[in-house]
Amino acid sequence: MNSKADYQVSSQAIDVKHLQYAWSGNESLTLDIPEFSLSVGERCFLLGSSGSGKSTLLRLLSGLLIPSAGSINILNQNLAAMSVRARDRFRAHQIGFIFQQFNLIPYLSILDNLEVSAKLNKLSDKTFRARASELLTRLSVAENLWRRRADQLSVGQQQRVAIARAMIHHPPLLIADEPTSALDEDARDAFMQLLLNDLTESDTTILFVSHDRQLISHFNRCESMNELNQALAIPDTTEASA
Amino acid sequence: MILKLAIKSLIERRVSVILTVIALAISIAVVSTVEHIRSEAQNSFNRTVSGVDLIVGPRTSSINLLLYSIFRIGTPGNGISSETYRIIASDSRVAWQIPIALGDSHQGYRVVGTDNTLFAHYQFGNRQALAFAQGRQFGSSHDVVLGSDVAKDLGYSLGDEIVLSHGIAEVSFTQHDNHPFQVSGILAATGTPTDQAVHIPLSGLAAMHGAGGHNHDQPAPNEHTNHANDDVAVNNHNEHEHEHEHEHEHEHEHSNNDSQQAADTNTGIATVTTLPVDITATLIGLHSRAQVFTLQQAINNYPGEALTGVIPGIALAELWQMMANVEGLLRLISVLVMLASILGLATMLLASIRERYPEVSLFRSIGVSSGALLLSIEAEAILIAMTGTLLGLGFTAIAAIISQPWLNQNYGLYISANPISGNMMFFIGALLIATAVVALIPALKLYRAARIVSR
Repeated sequence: MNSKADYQVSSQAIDVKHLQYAWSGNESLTLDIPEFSLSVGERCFLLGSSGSGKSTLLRLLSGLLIPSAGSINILNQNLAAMSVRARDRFRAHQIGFIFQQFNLIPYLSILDNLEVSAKLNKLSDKTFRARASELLTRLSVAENLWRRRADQLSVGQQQRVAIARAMIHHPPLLIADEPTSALDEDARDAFMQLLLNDLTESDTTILFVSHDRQLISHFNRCESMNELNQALAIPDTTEASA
Repeated sequence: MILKLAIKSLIERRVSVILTVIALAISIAVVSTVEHIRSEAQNSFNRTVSGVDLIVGPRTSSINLLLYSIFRIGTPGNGISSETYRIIASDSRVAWQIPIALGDSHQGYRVVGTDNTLFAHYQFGNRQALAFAQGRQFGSSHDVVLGSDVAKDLGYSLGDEIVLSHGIAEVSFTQHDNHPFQVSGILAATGTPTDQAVHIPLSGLAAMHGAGGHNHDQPAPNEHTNHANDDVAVNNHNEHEHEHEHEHEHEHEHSNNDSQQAADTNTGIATVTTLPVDITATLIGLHSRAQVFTLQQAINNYPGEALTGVIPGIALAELWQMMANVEGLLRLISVLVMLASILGLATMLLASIRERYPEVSLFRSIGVSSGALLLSIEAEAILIAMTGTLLGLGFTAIAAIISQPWLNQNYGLYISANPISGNMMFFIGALLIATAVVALIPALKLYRAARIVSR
């Protein structure tokens, strides 16, 4: 990659080119994305049902998997060129994750759960405590729950704490994978409000993946896995990423 | 952070963790008890006698003689005659000898008939002499000197009257109440079987058994004693044979003419050349340790009486030699028990790996490295092993404290409560290393799962 190309992608949070991925032992491609990019501060809704290869894509974007072909640049860093350890560090520092479920270690308290992320980002105890109480307060998680085990919280509370866990170290990129599908409608709206307006700064890039079309209205850009992933044209490859 | 996570994770799986810890604790307790008792027994035995060059008793195995004369374990056989005692005393190589007459007991404590040489020359531990906590040595045939445990356990103090019984059982049919004893001294604690002994003068023993019938309470003829000792001391090797014969003849004549009178005159309170009773064994100190082998040989080949001469250090070494095979077997069993519990630990962790997949997946997503996850399993394994070890050592310490009085009274063993020895540290180190190695099985399984995240 030459310096001119570097310059051109410098404002990109996600830059995917000619991405191909096949699970080992599987000849057919799970993912085939010619081009997908997100600029810094952009908030994108990615529509995808299970089996569309979205989970595989998210793991490629976070460096848990390495593409079979093509390139992935996250915040101008080529993940494939990094060592495993460097990718782990990069993921810890640059990306915040929110999942559909199991966002928290069930036997740790809320604060302990947040502390894992804080420690990975080398936040001082003081910074961590200040940031944790700020986030939890803004997420309306009552202070008497902070030392409670995570599995004693309701699903809605757990998802809110998940935002705090993902945002504790101000990651430039936030990836949310079906974070609202376990929530009822009221909780979902409150969650979206907190996630998009109250907790993330305007320069935080958000990739929000869901099959729930009702949420599209919260975003200024919408993509669909069906259009992105050329591999979906071949029916029998869709099973592999389920 | 890894340690904190490991602890929380263990608490989460507390039921299987506690069972594993207990299994490990039991195996550590077995290992450390065996090791502790072995080393403490050895230590206790080794420190019981010091400064005694030769033990002489009737013909028996050297270990047997050592066990009953010094450790008061087992039943003594025949005695040795006062004639033999006198001949040994007259040998120029002998600096002092302590007569020991066993066979009686007082409320379960062994009565040791002896004389004041015991307090002057007997040594234990690192060449420490016996010391009096209170009172003094024998002054009359009615005096008794108590070991510290006897005085403490039976609540005796100076001046108390004691009635001794015949035989070594705790309850005896014949009580020698015609010859009551009075506590003249209480020894300081030694941590040896001496603490468990009731010492009486040989003359007292004779009177108690009715040998003399009438006895004299006059103090020991100390001048005579010292003089006799000096005589022996100045004799050199060349003169020895002559001196021996001379003494022998003299003794012969003496015992022929008035043996009864001699027994009465020599009260057996201090060092004497003629004893009022037969003795069980005699402990000998030499002027020069280099002569111990020639004297031992002379004693073993003595034509007058079938004798055994035993060098304490060598007999102890023989004893340990005899125990070595048993020890080796116990060690092997210990190692196998420990190995089994480590495998149990690994199995428990292995079974938990599958239920950890969701959290592994989460940890990986937020940037925790696979290596850190591997380390967390190792940390859990080591924590379990250390907890089990501490608990097991605790069991051993408690067992040592509980069994101490019993071991002390029955075997003269003094077991400390602290089970941590150099050997045990080595064992614990080996256990922790073995745990870390075996825990690699579950740890690597988790590591592989972490590398192929399955979300």
